Amino acid sequence: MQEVIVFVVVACAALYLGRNIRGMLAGRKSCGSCAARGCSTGQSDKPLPFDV
Amino acid sequence: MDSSSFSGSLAVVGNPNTGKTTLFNALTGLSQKTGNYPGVTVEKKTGTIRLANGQFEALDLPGTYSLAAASPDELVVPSVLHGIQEGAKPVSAILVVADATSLHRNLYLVSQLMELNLPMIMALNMVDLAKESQIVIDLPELSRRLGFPVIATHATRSGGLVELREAIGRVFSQDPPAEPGLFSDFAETRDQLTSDLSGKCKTPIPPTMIFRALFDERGHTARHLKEIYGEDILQDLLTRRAELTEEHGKLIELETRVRYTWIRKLLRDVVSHPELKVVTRSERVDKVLTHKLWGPVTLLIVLTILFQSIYSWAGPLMDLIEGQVGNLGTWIGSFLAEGMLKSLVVDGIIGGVGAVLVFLPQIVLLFFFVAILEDCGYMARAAFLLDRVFSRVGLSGKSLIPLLSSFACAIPGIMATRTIESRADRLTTILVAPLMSCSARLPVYVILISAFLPEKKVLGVFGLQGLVLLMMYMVGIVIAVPVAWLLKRKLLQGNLPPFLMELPSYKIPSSRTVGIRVYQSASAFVKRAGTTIFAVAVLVWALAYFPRPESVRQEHANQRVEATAQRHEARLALLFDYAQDRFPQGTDEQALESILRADKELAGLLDGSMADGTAELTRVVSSWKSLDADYAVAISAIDREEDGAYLRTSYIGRAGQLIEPVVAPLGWDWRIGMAAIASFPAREIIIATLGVIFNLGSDQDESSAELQGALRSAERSDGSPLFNIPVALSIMIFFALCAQCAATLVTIRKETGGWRWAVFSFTYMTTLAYLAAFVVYQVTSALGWGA
Repeated sequence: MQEVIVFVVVACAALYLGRNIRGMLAGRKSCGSCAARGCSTGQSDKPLPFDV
Repeated sequence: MDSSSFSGSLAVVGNPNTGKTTLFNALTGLSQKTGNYPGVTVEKKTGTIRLANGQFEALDLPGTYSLAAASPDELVVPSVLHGIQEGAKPVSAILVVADATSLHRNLYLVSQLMELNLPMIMALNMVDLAKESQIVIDLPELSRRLGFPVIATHATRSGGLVELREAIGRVFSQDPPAEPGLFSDFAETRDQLTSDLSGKCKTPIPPTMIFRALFDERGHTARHLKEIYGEDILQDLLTRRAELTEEHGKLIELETRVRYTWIRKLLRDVVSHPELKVVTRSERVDKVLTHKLWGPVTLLIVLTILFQSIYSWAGPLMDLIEGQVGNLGTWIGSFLAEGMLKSLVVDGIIGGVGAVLVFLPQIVLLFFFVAILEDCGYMARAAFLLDRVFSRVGLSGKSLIPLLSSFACAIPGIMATRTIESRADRLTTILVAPLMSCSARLPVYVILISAFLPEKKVLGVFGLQGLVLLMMYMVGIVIAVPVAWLLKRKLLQGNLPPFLMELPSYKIPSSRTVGIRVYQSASAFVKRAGTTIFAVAVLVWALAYFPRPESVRQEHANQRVEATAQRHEARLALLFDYAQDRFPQGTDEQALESILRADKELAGLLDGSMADGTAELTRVVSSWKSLDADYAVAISAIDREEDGAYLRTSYIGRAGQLIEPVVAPLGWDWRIGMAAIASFPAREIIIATLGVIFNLGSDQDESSAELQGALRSAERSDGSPLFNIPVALSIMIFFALCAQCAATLVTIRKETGGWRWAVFSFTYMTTLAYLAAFVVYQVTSALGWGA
C-alpha cells in the first residue's frame, strides 16, 4: 500500500512539474516567482515606480 | 463576472503618475483581475465599480501623455478607446485622471479624448499638492469650459471619492462633450479617407483612428491599422499624409501647436499660479535625495537600515514557524510506520517545503519595506541616481525603465524594451536586464544568508547578514555596468538618444497599496511553496531515496548484528568477572548460581530498585552503562553510514558525484551542485533540495533538527566544514548572476526573434556566474574567511 501511495504522489509531482516547465518553455507560464507582482503569464501589471 | 451583467464600461485614462491605479483600486476595491492583450508589453486591469444604479466595469489603462503612439506598445490605449483592440469590449465612457499640479500638460491628452465622442468625467487629482504650490483652480469654470464634470480628488486619502462615485453613476447617461474642433480643416480629408478606406475593409474604421494614423508620423498607428484591416489601406494613408505634410508642414508639430493654443485659451482665468515659483516640500527634499553626493549616501543608508531590520525583526517569528514545522513532522511521523511513506512525508515534504516556509516572515518584511519605498516615491529617486551611472556606459535613460522593472521581474523588463527605438540600446538592455536582482532572487538571498552566514557584527554596529544582503542587491547593478559598457563598445554600438524623466511628488504611502503588495508577495511565496517547491521536493526525495540497493541494507544489517554480538560478549565477560570475584565458584551449579545472583544484583542496581553496593559493584555498573552507551553510538554511526550509503548510491547521489569535479572549484560538494541544478524551476528550491538531502541522511554527524543547524554542522569527507562564508558567498554570487530562469530566456527569444540572443544570454550569464563564484570562493578562502 505504501508503495502505491508513494508512486502516485511522485508521479503527480512529476506530471505537475513537467507541465509547468513545458508551459515556461512555450512562454505560456512564468516561473511563478514574479507572481508576487501580479504577474501571471509572464507579463507584469505592477506599475513602475515612475513613468516617462 | 460575466461581462453582460455590467451596465457600462468605464476606461480610466490619464498621464503617468496621476494616481490612476490608486484611484482605480479605491473605486473597485480588491476585486480587480489582470488580463493581457496579446503581444503587448503593458496590461490593462479590470475591476467592478458597484453603485446604487448598477455595476460598471472599469479598465485601468496604462498611463500615456498622448494618443499618438511613440512605440508599438503605446497603441494599447488608443486601440482600446477606439474599440479596435482584440479581446477588448467597446468603452462606453471615460474617466480621465489629471494631475492638478500639471493641468496644462494633462489637458493635451484630454483634448484628444474629447474627440472620441464618448461621455467623459475628470478626476482632478492631487489638489492638495496644487494647493501647497499655491495653484488655484476654478473648478466650476473649468468644468463649464470643458463640457463635462470635474471632481477634485486626493487619491491617497480617499478625498472626493463619494462625489466621484456619484458622478460615475451619472456619466453613462451623459452626452459626450462637444469636440474642441481644433482640426476642422482636416475633417473633410479625414471623412473622405474614412469613406474610401472603409470601402476596402470588411469592418468600418473609426474616423478618429484615421485621424491618428494621418498625424502619427512614426507610422505605428498606420502599421497597426494595416495589421487589422489589411495591406490595401496603407498606401492611401501614406499618400494622403504626404499631401497634408506638403501643405501644412510637419503634422506632429502642427498638432502640438494647435492643442497647446487651445489649452492656453481654456485655462485663461481658470488657473492662477503664484508670481514667484513656490518651492514645494518634494523639491526641497529632492535637493538632498538627488544630490550628486548625498543622494547615493542616503540611498545606501536607507537600504542598509532596510536590510538590517529584516534580519533583526523576523527572528522570533522564524523561530516560531521553525518550531511548528518541527512539531508537525514529529506529530505526523508518529502516525506513520517506519518506511518509505514516512520518509516521503517527513523527510521529503515537511523537510523540503518546511525549510522554505520558515523564511516567510523575512519575505513579508522585505516586501513591506520595498512597497513603502515605491509608494512614497523614493524609488523614482533611486532610479534617477542610477540613470547617471548607466548614461556613462552608453545606455540611455530609456533603458532605465526596463532595468528598474527588472528588479520586479526580468520578463516585463525585457518586454518594456520595446519602447527603445535604437536596436543596439534595446539588445544591450535585454541582455543586462536579467542581471538585476529580481523579486525571485531576493528571497533566495534572504534564505541563503540566514542559512549560511553567522549572526556577526561588523564594526560593532552592522549585522553581517544585513550587509551581505545589501551587497547582493547591488551586485546585479555593479556587474551590469561593465557588461553594458562592453556590449555597447564591442558588440552593439549606437548613439545615445535624449531622455527626460519626471520625478513624482513624495506622498505618504497608502496603507492599502502597501497591504495589497505585501499580501500578494506573501501569498505568492506560500503558493509557490505549496506547488512548485512541493513538487520538486517530492521528486528530489524520490531521486535521493531510490533505488536503495539490497547490498547496502545487507551490509549494514550485518554490521548491526556484529555490534550487538560484541556488546553481548562484553556484557557476559563483565558478568563472569564480577561473579567470580563475589561468589563461590566450586561446582558448575555453584558457578551458574553465582552468575544468576550477580545478574540479579546488577539488574537491581541498573533499574534503581537496589541501593549502591560496594565500590567494586559501582565500578561494574559504570562499565555496564558505558558498554550500552558505546553500543548506542556504534548503532547510530551505522545508521548514519547506511543513510549516507543510500544517498551516495541514489540516483541524485550518482549524478551529483559525476558533476562534483565541475563544482568543486567553487567550494561546492555534490549536494550543493545538485541543489543548484534542481532549482531551475524556482530559485528557492535550492533550500528545499538541501532540506530533503540533509533530512534523508548523510555519512557525517549532521543530524540537526533544523536545516540551518544541519547545514552549519555539515562536513566534507575530509572532516572540514562544508559551509563557511566563502562557500555561502560563492553560492549567492552564482545565483545572482546565472540565467536560471527558463521563462526569461523564452522571452528573450520572443523579443529578439530567435534563439541566438537567448543562447548568448544563457551562455554569458552562466559563464559569468561560474567565474564570479570561482573568484569569490578562491579569494575569500585565501583571505582566511573560511577559517
